[in-house]
Amino acid sequence: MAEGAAGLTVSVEEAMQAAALRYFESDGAFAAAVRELTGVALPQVLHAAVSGNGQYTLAWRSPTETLALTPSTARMLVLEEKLAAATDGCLVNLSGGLKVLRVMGERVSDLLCRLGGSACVPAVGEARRSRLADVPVLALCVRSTETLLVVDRAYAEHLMGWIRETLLDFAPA
Amino acid sequence: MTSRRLAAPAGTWIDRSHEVSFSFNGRQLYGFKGDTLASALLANGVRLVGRSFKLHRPRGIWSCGVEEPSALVDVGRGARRTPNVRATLLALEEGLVAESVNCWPSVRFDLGAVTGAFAALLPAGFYYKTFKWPNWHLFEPAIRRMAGLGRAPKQADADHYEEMSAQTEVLVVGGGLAGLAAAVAAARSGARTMLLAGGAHLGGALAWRADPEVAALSSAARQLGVQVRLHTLAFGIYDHNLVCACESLSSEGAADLPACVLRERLWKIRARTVIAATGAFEQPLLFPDNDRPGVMLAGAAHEYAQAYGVACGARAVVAANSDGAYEVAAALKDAGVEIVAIVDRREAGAANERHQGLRVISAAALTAVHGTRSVRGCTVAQLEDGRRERLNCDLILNSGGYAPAVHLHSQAGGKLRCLGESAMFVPDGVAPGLVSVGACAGVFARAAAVSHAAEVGSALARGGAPPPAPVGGAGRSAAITRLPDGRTRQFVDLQNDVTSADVMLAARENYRSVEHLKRYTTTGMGTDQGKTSNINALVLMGEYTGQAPAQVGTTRFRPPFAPVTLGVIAGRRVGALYRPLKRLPAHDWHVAHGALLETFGDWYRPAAYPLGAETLRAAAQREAHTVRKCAGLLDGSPLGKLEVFGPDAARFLDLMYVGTMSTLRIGQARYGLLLNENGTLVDDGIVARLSEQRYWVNTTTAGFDRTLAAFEEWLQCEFVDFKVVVTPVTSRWANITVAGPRAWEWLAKVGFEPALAPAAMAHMSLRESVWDGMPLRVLRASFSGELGYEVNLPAAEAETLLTRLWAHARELGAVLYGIEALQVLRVEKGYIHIGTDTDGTTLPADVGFARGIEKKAAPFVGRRSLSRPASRDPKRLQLVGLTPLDGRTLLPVGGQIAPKPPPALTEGHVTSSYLSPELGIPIALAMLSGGSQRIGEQVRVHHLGRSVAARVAKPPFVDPAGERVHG
Repeated sequence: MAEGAAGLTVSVEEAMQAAALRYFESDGAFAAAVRELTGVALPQVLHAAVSGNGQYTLAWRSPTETLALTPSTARMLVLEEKLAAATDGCLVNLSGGLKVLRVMGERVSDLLCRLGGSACVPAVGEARRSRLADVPVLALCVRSTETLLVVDRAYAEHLMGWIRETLLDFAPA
Repeated sequence: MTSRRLAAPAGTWIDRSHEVSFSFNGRQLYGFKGDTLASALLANGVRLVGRSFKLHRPRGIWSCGVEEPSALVDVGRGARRTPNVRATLLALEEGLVAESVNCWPSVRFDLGAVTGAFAALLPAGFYYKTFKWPNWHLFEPAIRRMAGLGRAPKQADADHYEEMSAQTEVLVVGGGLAGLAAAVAAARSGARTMLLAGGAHLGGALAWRADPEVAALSSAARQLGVQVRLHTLAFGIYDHNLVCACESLSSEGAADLPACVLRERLWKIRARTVIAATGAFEQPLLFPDNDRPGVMLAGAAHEYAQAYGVACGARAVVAANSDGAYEVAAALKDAGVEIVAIVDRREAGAANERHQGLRVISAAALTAVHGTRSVRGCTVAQLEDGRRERLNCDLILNSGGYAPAVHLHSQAGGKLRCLGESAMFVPDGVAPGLVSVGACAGVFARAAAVSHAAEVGSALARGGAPPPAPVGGAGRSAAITRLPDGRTRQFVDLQNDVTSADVMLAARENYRSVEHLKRYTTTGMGTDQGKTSNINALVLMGEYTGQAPAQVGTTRFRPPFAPVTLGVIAGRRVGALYRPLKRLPAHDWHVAHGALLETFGDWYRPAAYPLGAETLRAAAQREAHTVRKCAGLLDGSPLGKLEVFGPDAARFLDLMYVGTMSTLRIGQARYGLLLNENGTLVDDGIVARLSEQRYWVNTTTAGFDRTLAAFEEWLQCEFVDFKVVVTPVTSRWANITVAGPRAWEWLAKVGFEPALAPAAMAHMSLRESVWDGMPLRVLRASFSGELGYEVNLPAAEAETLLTRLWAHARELGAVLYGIEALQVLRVEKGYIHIGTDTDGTTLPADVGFARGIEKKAAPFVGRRSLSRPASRDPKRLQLVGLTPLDGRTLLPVGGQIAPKPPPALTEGHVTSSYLSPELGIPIALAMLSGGSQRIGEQVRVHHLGRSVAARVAKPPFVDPAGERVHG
């Protein structure tokens, strides 16, 4: 599923795997295990981090939670297995429960403003949760022309509907 | 000759090379680009624009802006028709179609004007006094048809709207000189600054004068990065400095618009501090027939002449009681309008050498206006000796001083004080979070206004205290006074046809409080909200009651400052986007299989799967019956799901639920009641242990959010040393529930492993399994009372499982069942539904869980409250079953149980009621006072005048031994 307008495309990353990494200490053994497995440390508050190989994206969600995204089902399974025995943290697989929308183009921030407001537009490297289209969405800015929107699956159609309506006001692609 | 277009160079805003055609009341007219509808009408000599609200009196153009009470028109056609648009703000567009309001068959010949003949019989409060018997509602429809202004379109809005939020450090409302000065100073001091201007130009009252200071400040604002939004009118300030503004994005009434345009945008701006620079409104004088077309505000005539190149008349009389009138008169004279005289109510006017050649009649007032549909002249009388003189004129200009636009200040909670010398109310200090500058602060002297605004902008940007406003500079202005009330009317509020006699009547009938005055006479209501009438009304009330204006006070200004469309408030929340609804993972599959979808809480899900013309109720009966006899398939995906992890998870869940969860073995599940600290039932659900540190918690669908909130609140605020994390997983897992005596047989047919068979897996247990390569969490639980499997699987796979199971449905005789059938099944079993059978007072013992509490020794949230005397009162409402004595009548949900019809003390009420397909009779659940001790008793249920006899029964109605759940 993809929507487009001048300077903008919105597509759903159907295969994206997602998991909540939950922990009690952001610098404990669990965090170290995550770093070893993904090659990237838990991100700072309101920030995202991408592994060197680009296979893992970690996004801060709360002081005890980081969202892990990967396009590879196999990698998610490995992550899940390796972290299963941890006692100071856990991985909760959310694949399929979250939808990831990839918004690309020069007018990404314009779209986000219209879905929520100027405060909902993350800077490059930021991951912030706010209310877009009346539903909670985590917006993760990969680069100035690319942002991921992570939304609860049950609300994905609502968000897409709102985006479609908004794109009517943008010039056609 | 009346109003006309002046020769160039008059008209700084119009483009004479760009002619625009438009239609008014079916007449084809022409104006120029840059005109408003009002200026174009005046340029075409049109002065009669509409009819008044109550008396259908002819009305013209009164002002040049947002304060316009009279020149309201309906604009556009069909779905694009917009009622009650102020002609003074409507930009002229090619093809614009406008019509007068409140007149039939035409604005010139209006049958409704007959009400004017009976005007003496229609004073303020007439309706309240007259239409009392038999009741107001009998007369209301006819009165509403007669009254009112424009007509709303019947079709859905063709256009759409959106909403945007913004945050800023300093928000300046108003783009005049003071607003610009404040914004530039704030930005220069380093603050993120936003400026809103309602019109198309910056400069406010100076916008059309090519003022060099305005140009310099506008340029500086751009360079300093001030976010300037034109066409954006701030209409309200709410708690914590939230300012709402409406931005107009497309032209109203233009004929060549695309099928659907983005018309308006609602801005919700959260500002650290707000600076109001909203200017002031010129005020009118009171004199007989002061509402005739051709009577208008002096400043407006000035603006029409200079900005639009329109003379509102050829011969003008200026009715004045303030100094400002003299400047306007001189300017109009320069523009080519003959000034017949300035009629000043004061002894000494303000004429100086610039006003040489202007005739000034001092200590005099207008006592009559001649002409009905247009001014033809007036009579002036000396106040002292009554000497009269008739003046020939076609334009009468009002100049009664100024009223600062203190709306935002007042909305923000600021106080007002009366400035006697200028007869105006000005802000008394600053309001919380808002500081006024310029004319709206009572600062009319230009240099003082600019320097004060800049100091305020700078101080607020730095977090400092704003300097006090140097109030003054408006010149002298006498308080408005009425003339003796004669036979002709002196209109205080043109839009609502409120006259000085109405205000006097309100005073005489003791509606003397300014708030009562407003409601009794309706002055200050309507689309203009009394911008040119409120002050006069309260001054008059003071005059009638012997009080100074300051003693009378003002009404509290409330949002919106100007009319706002419902469309912009709704924004995108229309149609399918009306509110966010959650969709099932297999939504399309259910639609394809005949689901009747309805909204349950936040979810859009199947209520039933009717066959052919089957009704919802019949479908639910069939589905429930089939589940009891064979098997059924329910999509229970909305059921709330949480994972609770941590070394203290067991301890935490013991505290949260009435059931003891720490003793659960891995794979075992237990029912739990969640209470709040008052012991009241908040939710119920099933808790299963996945591993030593990890639990699976099922909540109710509707109770998910409050359960999660309760868990987080207790963890974050009370059990702060617990090592527990709670993760919502509702959307991750679909839940396909298979229930009925043949449930396992059905699952076995699609290849579920034998370890999940009833013989191998007990009721209330959970197994993690794999089916077709996908992970499953299979819970044996039942909300139907039959053998039940809740199969949790990754959401994306729900359709696969449904399809595979459905392929075997026909051979088994199984069905899909929806929420309605589930309700029937659970009522037959006497299972409570939180929020339906319980309310904010229900305790566990009320619904049969007294023993569960007694069994649990450990503490849990709400426990202590259960020991209060009121909690142990045997007369509490308790859950019971009811059956109708006649065996036929469905007991009404909400029906009250009482020995006598109401009014009588109620003993309880019916909470759930269905026809039982198993028993063939209606059954119900009810909360009944002392119910557990009243089994077998006969009661009466009353509802909407009906009364049904019923017998109290002990639920469950079906399978009281609870054997069916074991298969």
